Amino acid sequence: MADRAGRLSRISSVFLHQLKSVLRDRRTIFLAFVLPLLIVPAMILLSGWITDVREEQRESVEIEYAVVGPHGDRAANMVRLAGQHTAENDTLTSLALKEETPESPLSSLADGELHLVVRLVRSSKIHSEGESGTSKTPMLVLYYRGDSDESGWAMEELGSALEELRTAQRRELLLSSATVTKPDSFMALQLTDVAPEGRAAAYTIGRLTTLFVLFFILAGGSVVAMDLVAGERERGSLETLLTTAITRRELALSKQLIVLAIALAICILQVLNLLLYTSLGLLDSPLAEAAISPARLIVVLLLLLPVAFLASGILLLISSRARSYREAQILLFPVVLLGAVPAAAPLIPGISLSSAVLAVPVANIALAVRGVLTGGVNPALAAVSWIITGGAGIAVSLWAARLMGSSLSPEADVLPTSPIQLRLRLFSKSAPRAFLPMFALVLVSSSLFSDDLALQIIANTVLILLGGSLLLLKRYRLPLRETLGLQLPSPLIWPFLGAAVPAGILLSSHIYRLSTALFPTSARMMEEMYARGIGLDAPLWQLLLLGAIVPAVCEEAAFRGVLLGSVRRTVGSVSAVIVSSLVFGLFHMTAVRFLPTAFLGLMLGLSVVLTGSILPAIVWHALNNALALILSGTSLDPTSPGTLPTLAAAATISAAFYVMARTRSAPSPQVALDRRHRGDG
Amino acid sequence: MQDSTIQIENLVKVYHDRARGEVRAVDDITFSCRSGEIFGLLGPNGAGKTTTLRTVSTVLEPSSGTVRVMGIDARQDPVAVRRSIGFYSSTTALFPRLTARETLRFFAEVNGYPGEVRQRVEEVIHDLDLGSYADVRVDRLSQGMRQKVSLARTDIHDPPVLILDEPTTGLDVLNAREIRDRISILRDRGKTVLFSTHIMAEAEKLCDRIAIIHEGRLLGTGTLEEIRERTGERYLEDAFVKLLLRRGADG
Repeated sequence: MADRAGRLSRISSVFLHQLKSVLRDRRTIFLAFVLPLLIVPAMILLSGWITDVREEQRESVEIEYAVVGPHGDRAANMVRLAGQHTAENDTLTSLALKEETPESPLSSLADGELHLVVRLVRSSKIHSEGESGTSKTPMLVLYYRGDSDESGWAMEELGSALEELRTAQRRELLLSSATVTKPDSFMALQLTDVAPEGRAAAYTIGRLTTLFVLFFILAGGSVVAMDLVAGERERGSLETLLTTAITRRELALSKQLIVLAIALAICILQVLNLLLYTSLGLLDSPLAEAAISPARLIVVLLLLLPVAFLASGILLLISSRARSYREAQILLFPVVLLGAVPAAAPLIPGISLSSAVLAVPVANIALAVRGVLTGGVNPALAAVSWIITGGAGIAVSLWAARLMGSSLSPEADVLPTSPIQLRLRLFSKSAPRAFLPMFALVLVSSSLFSDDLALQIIANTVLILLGGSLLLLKRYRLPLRETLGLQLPSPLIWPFLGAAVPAGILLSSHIYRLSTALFPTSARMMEEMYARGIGLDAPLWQLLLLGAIVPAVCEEAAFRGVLLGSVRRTVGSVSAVIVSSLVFGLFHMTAVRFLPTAFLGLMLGLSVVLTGSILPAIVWHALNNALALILSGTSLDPTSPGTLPTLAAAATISAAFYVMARTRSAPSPQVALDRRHRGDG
Repeated sequence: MQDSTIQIENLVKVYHDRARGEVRAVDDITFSCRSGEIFGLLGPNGAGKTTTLRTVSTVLEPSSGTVRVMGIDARQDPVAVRRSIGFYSSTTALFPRLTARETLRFFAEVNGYPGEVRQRVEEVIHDLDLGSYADVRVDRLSQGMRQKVSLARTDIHDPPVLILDEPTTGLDVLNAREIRDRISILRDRGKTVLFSTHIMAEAEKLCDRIAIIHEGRLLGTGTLEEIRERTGERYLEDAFVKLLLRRGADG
């Protein structure tokens, strides 16, 4: 019991003193409090202003149109009538119309000289009362350009004006003739929202609340969290704390509470800030019309507490895991992105709390919050969600405590001894940064040579990636073979690697499907991509050289040799494999190719880490590309393999990795270099 | 050995370094310290001094062997061990945005000082002549003042054992001298001071007993006189070299 009091006083002492210390840091205060307070309303105001400007532009557009087809007069008449109708009607915005008569209206539209082309089709015997049954309804076709704002607006404006005109004409017709001959053709449609006042707004808020709160907490708490462990570790005050009588868990908990307190304060400030701007009439926000009862608001806040606790724990975990402040910042970005996924659960249609989602921390709370704000939620399920997410928070906290304690290296005074070690160190710091300009160059060259694929491949892979890598090696005077890892692996791995290639393609077809679902790609775009990608008219040797061998050699040297090797020295093998494959994915420019490419990078990176050489990755990469090229030329379509082939493929790849791990003879390239030069200071 | 405040027996610390493979930073070290003495751990950089001291302070866990502080096994009750020590090294920094007074109060509370914290803090401030600087933020203090506050922080909960890892590293002559005087005062108050240094002269001047370590191994322990006698050398530096050569001949 006495120790419980001691524990409380230790935790509160760390909490209060460190909070004081944090609040005295002007930079932290500015980044965590002031900046978000300014940015969020600024962003909302800006987007409102952009909408207003666009609206104004839209209203001032004079619609230039042309009429085509056999019933041109009739069509022109209808457009004019629609224009008049808007002008005579007070409730409508009057349309400014201008008819043009170019020689070829459709090509003028394509050139941007016209906004719209109008054609009347299937029009025969209109208003033919005597010949009922054979009459056809006239149809106006509006041609517009979806890639032009003005053309799109013109389509919408004229379209709705025509719609209005039609409704009005029908009503007149209905009033003038007492009998209704064809009821369905006179039906007018009116949409009425029957949701109670504010409920629609509450629904919007309900779906987004958790996501926003999580975002605020991650964004606001990150500055403090990164400083509280990674920053203190660099400055040395963490070591001081670790040698005091506080336990690791108490320390982690009190630091997590600081992050939580700051994050919650930021959250509350943000909400108050938005409310202030709304009540001043500066902003339109759904908050104002939602009319959420205070009781519900309190329940929502209670529900969100474990989310905030978990989020602050995750921030602390990153900070504890990282060996430096810089590394913490690198790790932060992907975690924030991943964290947003479960919080977005309420946006997925048809998902409910009484499903497996109940077991997913954050996602379950997000659904419960939506339930509370939009109707009802099962209290038992909400309670279970609360416990699961809170439990995850505690687990993360314990994990962070463990990492925090084991963060000190035994000897502080071990320094690199030989010049080559020093150069290797500098190299591993600057090499990852070099990929930024390389990315910019690839971007430029891709647009420069967008119509010549061969030139594009040579520029991107040979000149930029391979050239950049060699320049880096030259700059730090490092041996090519050992730095990149070009040692021959055990010959045993080759047959397994050969089997892993088709297995990898099979697995990545699943990733590809996922990717096309995430980034919808139109069939035309895909066709275009294929057409450009294959260029089937080229001879086979050229296809294989440019499509498989050259990219394999150059990309492996750059991504697996230079990037993976250098990042690995600072963040460890697992993170390095992930980072290098993400960058590899990014370099392939299109959203739909990002995930499949990153997946390939993951497998290739793993092979490098396991064998200590990039040669297997080069061979794998080349065979993979070659096989993909050949497959795309045939009618064989591997896009939806069944469960059994998928399992077999996974087993094949695992076997290949297993053999690689068992037959490994050389240590990793740069590590070996480092170790060999340990003695000669 | 009832009056041993620190007992280290067959301490081994092995760790795995990605660049260097397996490293035996401390290799079978045994020694003990008594209350009221300054015990110096002497050795060149990378000898294993920091590793040994961090193991005693429970920041690192030993690979094998035992560490006892005030009779408490460091592995069994690390928190109790940390409560009875004050640890200081050139890398244990203070919180730059707290004042000296806040710093002392903070560490007294966290270490569970049994008496009245406020009173103790004022006592130490008076004792160290910190007076006019007590409410200045640590990051605005001079290097020497900061060192003084750091040392006061180490002793604020009045622990029986002080562990100081190269406390004079990076200090100028006057500041180093002040720290050494302070260490003597603490010893005279009956505390055990275990401290490491690579400066032979410092060890000669300050230590009651010395352990010489090199590459993780203990080359010899004893008072300065004993070491002189054993090696037949007047100066510690020569004694150190002689022990090193002797060890080489043995191995």
